[in-house]
Amino acid sequence: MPGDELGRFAGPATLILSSLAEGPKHGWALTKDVEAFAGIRLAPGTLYEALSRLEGLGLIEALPSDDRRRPYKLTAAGAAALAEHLARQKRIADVGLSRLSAKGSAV
Amino acid sequence: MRRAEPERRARRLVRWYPKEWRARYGEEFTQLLVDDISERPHSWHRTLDVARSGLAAQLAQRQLTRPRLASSALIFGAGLAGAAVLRVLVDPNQQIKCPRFIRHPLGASCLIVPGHGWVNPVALGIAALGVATALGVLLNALLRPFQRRIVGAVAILAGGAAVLVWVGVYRVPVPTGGIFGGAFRRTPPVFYPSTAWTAADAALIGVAVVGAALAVLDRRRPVTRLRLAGVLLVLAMVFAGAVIPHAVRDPGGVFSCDIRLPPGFSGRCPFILGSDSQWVNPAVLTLCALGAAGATALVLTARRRRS
Repeated sequence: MPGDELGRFAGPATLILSSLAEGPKHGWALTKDVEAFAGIRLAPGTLYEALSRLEGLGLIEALPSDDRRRPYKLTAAGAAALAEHLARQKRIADVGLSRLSAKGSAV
Repeated sequence: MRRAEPERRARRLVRWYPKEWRARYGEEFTQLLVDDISERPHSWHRTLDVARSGLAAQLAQRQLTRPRLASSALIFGAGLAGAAVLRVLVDPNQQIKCPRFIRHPLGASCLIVPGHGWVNPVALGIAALGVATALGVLLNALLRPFQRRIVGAVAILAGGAAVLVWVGVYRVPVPTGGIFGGAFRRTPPVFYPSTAWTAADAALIGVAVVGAALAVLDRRRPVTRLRLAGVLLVLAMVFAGAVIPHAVRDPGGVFSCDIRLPPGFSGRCPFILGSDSQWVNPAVLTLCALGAAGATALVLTARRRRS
């Protein structure tokens, strides 16, 4: 989809960016947060595949850490990409819901 | 579960990823895996997810390392040789019988497993390529340098042995008694009884394959044009070693139809390079495949080093 930087990683990437919108988190904290708000447990390989992709796109950045749990934070570009992606998803959801509603009332 | 167990298992899983990826994400990813393993000790889904993601990272790196390419080429050769052995084992007395009036590019390999003409060699070729690629990536991902060298040496021996088996399927004397008797008993070598030429072929091919593979595997020395030319020369010798003795022994050489079918067998093979000989075509194809793979690997490696 034109302008959609998340591409085929949209699923995990949306979950990760949405989680980081709250504040910086490391991998395990991301896993637990996504599981809590979306009911989806991101497998480690999938999570880091998306993290490395998002970092490469400049949508998130790693923060310094004293231990092995390195936190990541949302960049300004990441926030903008997330907002755009969610707005597009919202438009699609609104259209779908309104059409379902119209079909339901017609039936 | 012992306290160090999650750490050990996590480090083992991280080996699926390429070295460059591990240098950047290795420690933090290990910690995530430790946390995950501590909460859910047994998960096939996690293992498969890490393997899939690791292989994707391997492919994304797009770096053709010499051990990866060399092991792929050698395993490809071993796979082709395995097909020849399979043919002998499935039906020791079966001669190659291609459908009359049908000529296809794989010529003499048309009956590896009885039936289905050209389907079998194509399927086996694709399978061998897939297995070779997968194993090449896997070995590079999982093995430490010293282990890689051991596996590389074994692969070289397998490649050399594979060529020997292929070339000697109908020419090298094999035991017809004992525990292997049933598997290897077959028609006496009525086509090319000369074990001297067989030995010459085998020695040339074995030395050449081992030499070429060693040159590709040796990562301590850069690939220079001289080494590249040397290895290509050796690979050319492989081709010559397989074909020339046959041409010298028979007046028509490889360009004549000199197959003599024993009583009870019928059929003839379409030819490649003008040869109807039942062993020349698969041997030449194998050597060409090995040579092309080795040469391509060397050229690509040399080009990458220059850039």
